Amino acid sequence: MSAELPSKAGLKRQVDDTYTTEWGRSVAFLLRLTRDLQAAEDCVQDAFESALVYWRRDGVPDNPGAWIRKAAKHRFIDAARSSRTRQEALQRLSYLDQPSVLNNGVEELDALVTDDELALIFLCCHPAIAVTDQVMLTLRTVAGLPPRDIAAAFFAKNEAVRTRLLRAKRKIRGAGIPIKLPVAGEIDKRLRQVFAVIYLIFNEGYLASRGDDARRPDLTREAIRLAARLLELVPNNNESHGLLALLLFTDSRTPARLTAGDMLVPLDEQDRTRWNHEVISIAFEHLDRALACEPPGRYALQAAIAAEHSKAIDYAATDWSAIVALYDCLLEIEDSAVYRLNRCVAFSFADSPLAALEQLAELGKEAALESHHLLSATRGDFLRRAGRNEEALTAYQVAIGQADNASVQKFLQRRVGELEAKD
Amino acid sequence: MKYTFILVATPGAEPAYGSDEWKDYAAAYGAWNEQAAKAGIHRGGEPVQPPERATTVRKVGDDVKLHDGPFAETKEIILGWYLVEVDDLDEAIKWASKMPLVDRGFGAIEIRPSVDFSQG
Repeated sequence: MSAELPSKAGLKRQVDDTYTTEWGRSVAFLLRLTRDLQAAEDCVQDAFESALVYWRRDGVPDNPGAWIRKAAKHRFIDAARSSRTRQEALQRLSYLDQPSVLNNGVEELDALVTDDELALIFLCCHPAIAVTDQVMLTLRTVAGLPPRDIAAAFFAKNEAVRTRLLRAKRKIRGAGIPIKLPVAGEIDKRLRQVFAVIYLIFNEGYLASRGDDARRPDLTREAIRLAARLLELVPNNNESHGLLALLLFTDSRTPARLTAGDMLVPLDEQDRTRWNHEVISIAFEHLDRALACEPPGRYALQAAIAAEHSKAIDYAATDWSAIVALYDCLLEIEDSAVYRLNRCVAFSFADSPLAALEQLAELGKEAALESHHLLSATRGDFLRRAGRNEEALTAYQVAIGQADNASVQKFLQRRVGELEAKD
Repeated sequence: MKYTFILVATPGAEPAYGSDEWKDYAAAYGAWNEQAAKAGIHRGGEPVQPPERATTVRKVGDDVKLHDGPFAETKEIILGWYLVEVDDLDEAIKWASKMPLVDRGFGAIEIRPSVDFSQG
């Protein structure tokens, strides 16, 4: 125990820090006993509430995570003992017979908890659960976000998020989705889904798809934290490094990405001295690890593309041919309309906007892009750069009608204003 | 846990009855059944006749009404069902994926866990 008793504010901060790092691990550990997510979360929640009381009286323990798990376990045992019937109590307590659970030292428990935590992540990202529910469940159960925060992040109603979480937990229990690590042959496939969920969380945070806030810092931070944690749990996976590198490169530009009035600043106008260079250097370390393996995965390649921008001292110095080549590698792994659109943009700089305009016309026939604001906005950009201002104006106006994010609309309005001023 | 597999075919996807391709397809079901029996997971199941031979029974007011055909108008055709008993959903998914209907892309399997009344 620490010698000094913490102040009220200091205590609150320490409990919050412990919550951030230990929530998911503790739920994972409790799940071993409860076999039910809701019950596990309830026990851990109770433990954090008692921490506020006990740590104020006795000081913060040396290993706060272990303290929380022990308290949560006792909470579970108490609840089981007070079960209505003897049979129910025995049934619930029978899990305690597992020697691995009851009588270990803290270190042994912590080693076990690592596997439990990974199993919990795989559980939340199980493909039998709807993707939106996977995202919310991961945020709630692994990252510890309260449902009201998740609701705020997704512009959803509290009640709707609670209902979704409950439904997902019932499916896990009812359908017998296993709480264990996937078999060796399935791990890579299942990890890809975990990466996808983390990436979705990041993107949702980085650029809100609806509403007025272009960026909600909580979700990007949670996604980076999840990616970093996953890397600790699965250290030898190059795509784990690739994903973390991609998130860090992207996040490093945040300080330069919006004006004070929440207007998006395009890459060519961003003040690169405001990029977070400390984050960029960490990102490069992970990128190197990700690219050490052949062939590089999709996150490693996307990170490598982001890195090309970080390398360039200014926009004009960007190596667009390298970016086109990286998109070609990416398209070999996965043929996606969005990758092809991005390749087309890179090509417009490596070659010319007019040559790229032809490729764009082909892309416009894709169902995924047909009425997407990105396609119209890109057409507007190519036309503007080719000096065909009137056509550019029309394309931007179409894009404004298709976009549903206020920051994006504001930015496109700015382009329209610039073109109108030229006339 | 027990799971019911409901097998639904895409109309026209399966090979024509009696063709060589059909014989190979039928043999694959035989192989699946054998593997399932060997693994000890097979708890029952039947193929069923086509939807046009279905009769739907429903009480309307005081009368029991019959309807010539399946209860729901869908394009998919229910081929039959299996009951398997395995450890968890991952196992069930593994077995369902190996079923020739799914493996050859002729249709889909809906996996429904049985209700367990001993669980709250």
